[in-house]
Amino acid sequence: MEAPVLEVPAYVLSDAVSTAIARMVDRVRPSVVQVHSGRRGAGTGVIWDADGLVLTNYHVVAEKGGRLQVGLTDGRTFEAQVIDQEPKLDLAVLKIPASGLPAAPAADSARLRVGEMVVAVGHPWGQRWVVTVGIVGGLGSVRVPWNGHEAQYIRSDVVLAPGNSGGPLLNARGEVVGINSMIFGGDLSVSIPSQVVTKWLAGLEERRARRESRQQQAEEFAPRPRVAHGWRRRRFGWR
Amino acid sequence: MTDPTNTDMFGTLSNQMADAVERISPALVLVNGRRRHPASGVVYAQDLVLTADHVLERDEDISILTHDGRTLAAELLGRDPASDLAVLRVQGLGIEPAQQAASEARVGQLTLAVGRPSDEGANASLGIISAVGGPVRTRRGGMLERYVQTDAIPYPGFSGGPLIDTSGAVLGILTTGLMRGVTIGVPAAHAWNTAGTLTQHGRIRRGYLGISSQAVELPESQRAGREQESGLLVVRVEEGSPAAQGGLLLGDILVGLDGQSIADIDDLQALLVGDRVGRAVPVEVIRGGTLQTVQVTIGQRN
Repeated sequence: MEAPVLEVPAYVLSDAVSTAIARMVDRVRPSVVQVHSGRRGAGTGVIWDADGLVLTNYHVVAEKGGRLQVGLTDGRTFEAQVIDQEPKLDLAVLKIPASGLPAAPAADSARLRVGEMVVAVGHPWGQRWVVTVGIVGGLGSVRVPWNGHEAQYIRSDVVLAPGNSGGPLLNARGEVVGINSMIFGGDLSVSIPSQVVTKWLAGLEERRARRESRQQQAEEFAPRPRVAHGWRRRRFGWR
Repeated sequence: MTDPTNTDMFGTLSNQMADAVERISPALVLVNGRRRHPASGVVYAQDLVLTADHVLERDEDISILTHDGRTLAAELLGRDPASDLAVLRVQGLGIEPAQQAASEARVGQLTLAVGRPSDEGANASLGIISAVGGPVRTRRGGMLERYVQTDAIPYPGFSGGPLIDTSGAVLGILTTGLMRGVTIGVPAAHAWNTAGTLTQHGRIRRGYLGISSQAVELPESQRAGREQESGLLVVRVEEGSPAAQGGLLLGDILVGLDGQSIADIDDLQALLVGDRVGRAVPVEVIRGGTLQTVQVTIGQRN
């Protein structure tokens, strides 16, 4: 009996795919940052524009009083300020005093398809710039148990762990399609669609103007005594 | 250094997988057969749906939800707990059946586990075929001739749905009810075959002899001319059973059935199926050191 002839293809597809993923990640990595908040461990963030807007999860920056620091791939560290936050969406936007930053390109999450490959970059368990790959497992909305709101989500089988929160979920072209957030978690990974993020960011200016006018009004009247809420926040805080 | 063939490759693969999910999606249905937790099923022939047996906790009042939002009543045609498969007939379904993969799954092959656990569209997870094997004894007391195992995550409600390849063809039917802790699928060819039998007979015929037995080693001097190193020692013969009627005795060592050798319980189980059930077959035993053949009519287990 003759031995079977092994057909060797001209190139190995899996090698080409591996190379493609590696190059894509090399391109995007500088847009992914570390977010340190007080005594808590590090979360992840993504540079949204060249002038220092950084997007992350609300629960990454929720603790008040701590110093907020953002670390870049080039080793630079910046003090960050929370510009706006929305617990219902688990989103927060930070500002760091820098310009000419490598902003991550965003894609419209409405065009995502189930089965499409996605890549997460983040710092699980404090391990830096870790890359995990999976596919979009499902698209839809889920009722958040503690506030009753419907939240849109992307679920996927990319492996996420604490520390990945706030990092980008990328499509095969390396564009941000979601912000990883495990708070609805379980054994599946959940990300906030980029569509929800851009819609929320569009209202940034309006909310700032509203806050400023409210502050002005408040200054015109005598300040009310503050009620201590500290115990409450600790009890029901993000964990 | 830009190399278009390389940079595009990931996108191409990504597109193909999304295409595969899109291709299987119409044949993927939600199956309502138990309280609260719907499962999945796949249209495998005209108006016929394959699903998992364990997700049907009732025989009646079963319904399915299609990709285009229709809720239709389904009739249970047959079920086989041993391989965890069931077949439903849905009148007026009118959906193009899913394609069976042309060849058996290979270890290392990319696979997608897909399901329709809710009305929010198809769901999927990615993995590879981790093992192909069999026969294996299942948790529910049956034997599965072949199985495929995957590391794709079986999300709640995926049972009964297909494992597909990257072209959208079915490699197997997913079940989480057969082996604890591992995700296995019944290979497509086996599932399609079983489904054929189920639509005709309503169940898979499984035979029995009516004995209790234990595997024993056969020292070379006691093999009575046979080559096998072990056999099945009969430790109990049920009164009035096929074995008793055929003349099997306590202390006999079963070594063959219908021309096939028997070295352990799994060998025997694998032989007590199909058209042997209800038929008189020669059973070879070692009795008092010599090989004897008795005729036993294999009974049908209800």
